[in-house]
Amino acid sequence: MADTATSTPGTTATGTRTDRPIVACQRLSKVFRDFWMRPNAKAVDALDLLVYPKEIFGLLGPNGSGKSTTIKMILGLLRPTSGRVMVFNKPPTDVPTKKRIGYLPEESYLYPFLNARETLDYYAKLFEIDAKTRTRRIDELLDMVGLQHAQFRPVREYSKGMQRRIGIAQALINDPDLLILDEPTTGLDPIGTRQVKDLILELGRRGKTVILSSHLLADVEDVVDRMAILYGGRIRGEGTCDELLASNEKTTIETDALDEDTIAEIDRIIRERSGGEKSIRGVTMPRQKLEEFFLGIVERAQAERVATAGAVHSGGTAAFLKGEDQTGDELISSLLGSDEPEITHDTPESPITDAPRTHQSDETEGVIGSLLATDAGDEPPAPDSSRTNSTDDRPEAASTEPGEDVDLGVIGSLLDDDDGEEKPS
Amino acid sequence: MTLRERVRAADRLQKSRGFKIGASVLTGLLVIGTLITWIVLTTSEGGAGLTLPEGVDPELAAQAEAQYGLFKDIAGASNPIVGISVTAALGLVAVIGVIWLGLGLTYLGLALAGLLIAGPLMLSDTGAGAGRMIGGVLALTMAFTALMQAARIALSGSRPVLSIARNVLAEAVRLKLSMVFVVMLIVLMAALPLLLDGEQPLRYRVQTFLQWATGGSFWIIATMVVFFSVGTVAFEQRDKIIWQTMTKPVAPWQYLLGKWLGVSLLAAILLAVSSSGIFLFTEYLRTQPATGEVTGEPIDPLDLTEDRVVLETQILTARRSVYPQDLVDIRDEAVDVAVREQIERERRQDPDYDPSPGELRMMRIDIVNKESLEYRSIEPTRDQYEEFVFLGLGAAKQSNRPITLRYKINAEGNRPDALYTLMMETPEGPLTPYPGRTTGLGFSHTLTFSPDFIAGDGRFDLRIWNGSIRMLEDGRPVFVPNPATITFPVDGLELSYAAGSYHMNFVRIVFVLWIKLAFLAALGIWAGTFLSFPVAGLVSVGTFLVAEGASFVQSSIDMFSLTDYDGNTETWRVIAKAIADTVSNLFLVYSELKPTTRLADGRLLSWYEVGGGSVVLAIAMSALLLTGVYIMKRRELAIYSGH
Repeated sequence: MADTATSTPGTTATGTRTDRPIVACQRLSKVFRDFWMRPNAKAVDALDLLVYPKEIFGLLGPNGSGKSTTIKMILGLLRPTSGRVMVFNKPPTDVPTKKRIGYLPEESYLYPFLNARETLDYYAKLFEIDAKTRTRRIDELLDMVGLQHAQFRPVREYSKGMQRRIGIAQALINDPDLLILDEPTTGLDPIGTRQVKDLILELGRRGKTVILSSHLLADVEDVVDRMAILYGGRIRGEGTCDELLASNEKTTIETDALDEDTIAEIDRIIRERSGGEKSIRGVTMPRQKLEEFFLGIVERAQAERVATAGAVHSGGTAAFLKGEDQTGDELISSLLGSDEPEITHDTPESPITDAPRTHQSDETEGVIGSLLATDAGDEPPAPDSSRTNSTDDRPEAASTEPGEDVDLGVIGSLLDDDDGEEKPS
Repeated sequence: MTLRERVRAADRLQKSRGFKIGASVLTGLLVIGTLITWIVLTTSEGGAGLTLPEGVDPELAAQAEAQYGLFKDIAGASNPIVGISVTAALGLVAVIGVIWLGLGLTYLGLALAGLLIAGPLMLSDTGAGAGRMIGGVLALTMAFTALMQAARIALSGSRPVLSIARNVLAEAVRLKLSMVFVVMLIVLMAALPLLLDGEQPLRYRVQTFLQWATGGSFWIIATMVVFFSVGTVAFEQRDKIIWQTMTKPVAPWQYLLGKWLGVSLLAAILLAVSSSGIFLFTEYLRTQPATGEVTGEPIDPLDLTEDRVVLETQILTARRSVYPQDLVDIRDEAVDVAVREQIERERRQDPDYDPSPGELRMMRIDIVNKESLEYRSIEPTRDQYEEFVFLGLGAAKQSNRPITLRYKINAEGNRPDALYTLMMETPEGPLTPYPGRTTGLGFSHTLTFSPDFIAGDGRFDLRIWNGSIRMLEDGRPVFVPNPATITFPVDGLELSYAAGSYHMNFVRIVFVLWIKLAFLAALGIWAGTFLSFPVAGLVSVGTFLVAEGASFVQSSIDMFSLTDYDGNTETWRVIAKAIADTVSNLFLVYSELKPTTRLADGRLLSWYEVGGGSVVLAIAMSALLLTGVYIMKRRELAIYSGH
């Protein structure tokens, strides 16, 4: 969880925001009406909401609390019954503004007849991204969401989780300044969930703004700077996690395992110092978290190269999302065949140590890699099967030449193969 | 090397620039060389000329030369050199296109495979039809995929409109909704030639093929366009896929324009495939023997058969028609007089006779019909002949191309064994040589003559005798009438002249068909923006049918009375007429273009008509798309009520 919300850029010493909000909702209401225009349901009720630049903002609430409706009004998919919404200081219907927004709906509504690569290519073209950048980003995103190996299968054949992953990839194709994620972890396995959370943190470090809507509290708590809790279309609580969750009545100390005598001794000291008013309330032997246990099993299976038709968890956040777009020097050095091209980071926000969200920043450089590093202990490092299939070892046709993004395949040219990439053997 | 590796190597080869250049040059040389050789061989056989016996009267010789020139003109139209040269050129362009799409070896392989399957079948007696059909299906499929590939390349740019249009094409070939129609079209086009009756005169075979192939393919494509255009918009809203698109930097106009472009391009591709098939097969049919010919190459003008003349002057042409002037019009004062006279006659029998407005209207119609019938009927002994006046033939005279008179006579219940003889003459001289023209009953005949018979002001007076002149033994001429009165049906007397070439007319007609399809695409997309698929489909199909029938409705409205038989105006009639009039007027331009009928009848569709129709339909399309944009801007896309 972000524990430095009060030090978010653009904040004065007194905590007042000086920068302009990216999303501003003012007395926003939405009433759904029936066919006869009679009010049917009030989904959002006089909502005031400000989301600032470089902020990861959580929208929490139970089902039907108005989270998705609020998001749809922010995106212009719904019109407010009353009140006002501004995004980047423009109305939500402003087309150029949408170039800066990425959106993942609560379900991935994708063209079932396109494959993953075609899907990303289609959305990238809507952003008028040039062919070369498009190809590189698609490769990186497919690698990131672990679908390189399934990129030529029609989306309709995907599992819900795989569709979710493509949905996430399409939301990121334009490297958005504002990313709106509606229930992003729905349908994802724990690894995917963890990956999404890492991705959000990564984007936050790059100074992107993220609005995250979820009813899975743990997901939100792990990543957001600030949150609003909705119920009945109104905000019932708003603030940073610390502001909302901090408790001064208990202290937790984590140590290596202690015997009973030592515990008794500690309890005695506490009683002495507090004049008998305070004592140890309970002693537990913490279990390994189920998430970590699960991830360990999957990693071991991947290390053994067990085949799967589903997503392969490479875990690496796409380079362009980390601000590692290939520079001219890098390109030249790669063309010259340099073994270790010097990678230039041109994004000032990228250094991990500078990031305000400190408590997880050390473990997010490559999700699975970091997990292995954390868990490593006695286990040897697991080879990442999907990584071996990534950038340097892609199918030949995936490395499309500039301007050659057209299908010229042999059998693929007959009707079904839209983009000309060779089918993976 | 495995098969897969071989295929990949072949693919790399066919995509290489060297292969493309080499294959293009080779194919070009092959086609041109073959064509030149064929032309040299054909022309070296020597052309027939008119050789008249010595001592022929110079005046008669001049007439014969003129007549020969006239028929040579017609015979020249069926010269296979032109047709084959055009076909070869189009084929060469298509093959080079395929090579440059990187599909040269793929298609070569498919063609060889098709030949292996269809070839043996075609050689057998029982499987020849199936073999031809398989070959046709393969050829049409290859043409379709090549054009789709070309369209995808054309739409591969990074622009929202292009991207959306390209996506529509991908959707079209991967959804059952559209593929059903595509397969149906290809199979129909391949199967239709098998359904032609080889025993029929060539002109009927060609006309039947043109009518069914053009009309059938248009209706299949139009139905697909209507449903597909509705579906591509309505389904996206129902399935919420549109959320992902419209939250990207895509304006509503870009979205709808992209959809329209995609559907229109798909329609153009399908139309191009079917039209190419129709054109090529018609050219092939043209080379087949007409009735009375041994081979399909007559081509001595003096050997032209009536079947060939009709084919070249009435069907495979772009003719303009002129009908004789009506003797009376329903609004003429003469009709008023006739009505008054009839009322007076009735009152002599019944002094209280007071006809209702409905009766008066029927009376006028009866009088006009009776006058018209009398005008078109020639009684053999009393009248002996009738004069018909054709106006507006100035252009025909100036064109100096043959004029064709098409006529049909009814008599004696059109006994098939009866033959009548007619004589036709003009102020410039007789049209039918002595002793007249022998004519069967109940079907059309043609007579081709020189434009010199038309007066300088474009007027053509035609006197038709119901009988013929015979010479008695003493040398005196005598008029021999036919056994019964002859009647020309309403459209049974028509003059026509070539006002353009068949090939260009074909191109214009295909273009008009596409414009109509593009209009239907706009209609479907418009309906899909605010209606669910079933409702939008119903609205679009209904509008399509109304548009197709608008011309018929308009012609029927004149006969529709607002009053009942007693002369009382009925409200529902007024409303029905107002609606029918408004709606049919709205689509009149669309309906009046009648491209399919014109093609089968060999009638000219002028650039003027094409331009006028295109402008009107373009305005209608723009209005539909603009309304759609407005609706999309006003709509809340996250609310869908179509379930």
